[in-house]
Amino acid sequence: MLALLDAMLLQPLMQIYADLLAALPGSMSAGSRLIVFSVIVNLLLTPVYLQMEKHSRNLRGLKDKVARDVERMRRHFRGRERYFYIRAVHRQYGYHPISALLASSELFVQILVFATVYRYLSGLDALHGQSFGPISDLSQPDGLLGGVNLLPIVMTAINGASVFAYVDDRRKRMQSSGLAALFLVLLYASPAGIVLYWTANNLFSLARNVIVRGSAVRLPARISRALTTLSEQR
Amino acid sequence: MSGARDGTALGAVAGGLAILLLATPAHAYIDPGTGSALLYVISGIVVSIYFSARSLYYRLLDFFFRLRFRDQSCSIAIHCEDPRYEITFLPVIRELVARGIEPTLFTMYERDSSFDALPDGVVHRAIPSGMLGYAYLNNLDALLLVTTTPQLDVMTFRRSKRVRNYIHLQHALGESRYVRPFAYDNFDTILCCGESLKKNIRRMEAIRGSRPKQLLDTGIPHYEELAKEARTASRPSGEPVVLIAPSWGPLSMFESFGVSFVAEIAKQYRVIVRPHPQMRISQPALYAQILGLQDVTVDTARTPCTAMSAASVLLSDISGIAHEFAFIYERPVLIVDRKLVMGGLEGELLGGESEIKEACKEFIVPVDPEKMHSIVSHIRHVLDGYSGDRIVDVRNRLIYNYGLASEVAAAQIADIYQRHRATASERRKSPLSRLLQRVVTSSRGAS
Repeated sequence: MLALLDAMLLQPLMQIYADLLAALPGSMSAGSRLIVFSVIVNLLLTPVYLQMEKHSRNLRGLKDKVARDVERMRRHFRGRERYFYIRAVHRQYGYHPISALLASSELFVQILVFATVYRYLSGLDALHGQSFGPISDLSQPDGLLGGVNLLPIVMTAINGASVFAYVDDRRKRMQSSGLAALFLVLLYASPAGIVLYWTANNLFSLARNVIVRGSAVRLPARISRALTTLSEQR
Repeated sequence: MSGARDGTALGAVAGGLAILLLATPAHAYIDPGTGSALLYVISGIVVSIYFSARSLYYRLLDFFFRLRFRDQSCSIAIHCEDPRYEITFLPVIRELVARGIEPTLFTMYERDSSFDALPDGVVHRAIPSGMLGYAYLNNLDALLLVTTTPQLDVMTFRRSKRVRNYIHLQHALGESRYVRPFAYDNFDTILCCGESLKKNIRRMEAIRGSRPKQLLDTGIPHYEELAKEARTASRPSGEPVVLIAPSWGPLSMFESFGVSFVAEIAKQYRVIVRPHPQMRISQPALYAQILGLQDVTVDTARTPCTAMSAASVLLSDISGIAHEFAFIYERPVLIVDRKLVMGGLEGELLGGESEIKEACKEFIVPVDPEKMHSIVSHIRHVLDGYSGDRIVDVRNRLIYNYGLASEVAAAQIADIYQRHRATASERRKSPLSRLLQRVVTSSRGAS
């Protein structure tokens, strides 16, 4: 079953990644190719993500309305009566808890891309012994700060900037920060090539947010405001 | 090679953890715009499992009941949940029979000889009360089902796929304010008691974005029955009579203020006390205390008609009897003004204050619970100040078809019934006969 899924779903994607990388000019260094590869993957997926984001936004809007009414029922009723009223609220909005899963279709696509790219780059012999700037071997952790890996820290800093600049809700900001920390742990000891790919990915995301949501000029001010608010809350 | 294997393993771990923990984002794994996608997934799974499991329980019950109660059919089903609603249904049933329509009456209680006889041709079926009885109704095959029970398709009273039109008939003057959630949402037709109800149901439809129901100007059928009894009963004579008829339970005025205020009133007026029948069961000590009151008449008759006929003014704490007394006997009422908590009721969504309460405040006079010590002077003030004509004016404004509601309700039900019957007979015809009929009709049109 897993072999079938692998052949049907993962292998075609891996083949696409291989073709993409092969299509890049041979004169480019391995590091530059990874960065361009990251940008191309993101650009190719942008229409899919945009469509899914739009769909998710609509479903989240519906979920917020359902949550508001369900909360009212929870506040005033108990037991069996509460169960039936919540069911009536779901029916009123044509909502089913399973919708929450559908709202997250973009998440599944991201996980798929994440897993396949990771798998592809992990097995990429072309990274062995390849240097990029101060990084001597892209198939090994960079160890640029006296043995401490710099790239994962840069990647996390970019994530942090995105989170503090563009997530206003405190709870969601905590979640996103937690995830940034998780990715730091997961990727810290990974080959520099993989972390370079992810760093480029996160930079692409930050650039996209700057373009879509606000100018780069306002970015430092937004981060500073978010940090001030955070310290005041503490 | 080993490095590649490690990488794959880490990739699998990262992917797995991402599946479990990733809460983000388009384009780059941490996208600030889409915060808690993962929490949606997890909460979606948990809530789906909970609802599916609980729903399975009710679906299984429904399945077994459906097997047991299949093939229950009639043309018009009238569902009476409690004997106290018979006074609403019987006049409508009589009017339907007078029009040649014979409904089937489903009662959730046994009817013995103490109940009024049903007109000839009306079939009576006693069904169990509670969930079992609703399972019976949920599988009924009928064109129409008329009921006073709200919340269709919300709790265990579900729509039957084989009932074409669910009709709600009002047993009291209401405005969809002090009713529980989704009280009228899933009915096809509401026989409205008055304009306030109609307006508020339309507002609820707008708030919930639900489909518009058929709302008809009907009235309150049982008011006619009470009015008939009121006309035959003797009117109060001599010194004014105060009828004290409160609710039962923790909100009853006897529970809140004790019984001593009755003695105060009895020093000035003749007093009839009518304890709520449920008090005998739920509050026996208090009930016994009321039965032992000196210098007052305690009325425990099955209906309050005799006591209401004899009374000049009513003192109560519930709106049902207050409206009946004011509008049918055209006499004033004092009602303990408790601030009702709207928690979860439809009025919470509607907002604002009760229009009915506001319209009636001249003759259904609210009494601040803090001022119960001066209840005697309140009674004197109300008796001196009310106007019967004013009550009639307000009644005509608030209630549709006063004195004619049974007739109107029966005509409306008959009309809906005929419409559905015509559609049903049209559906029963074979496709060939429908085609032939269309050809004949079009050829007639051409000639």
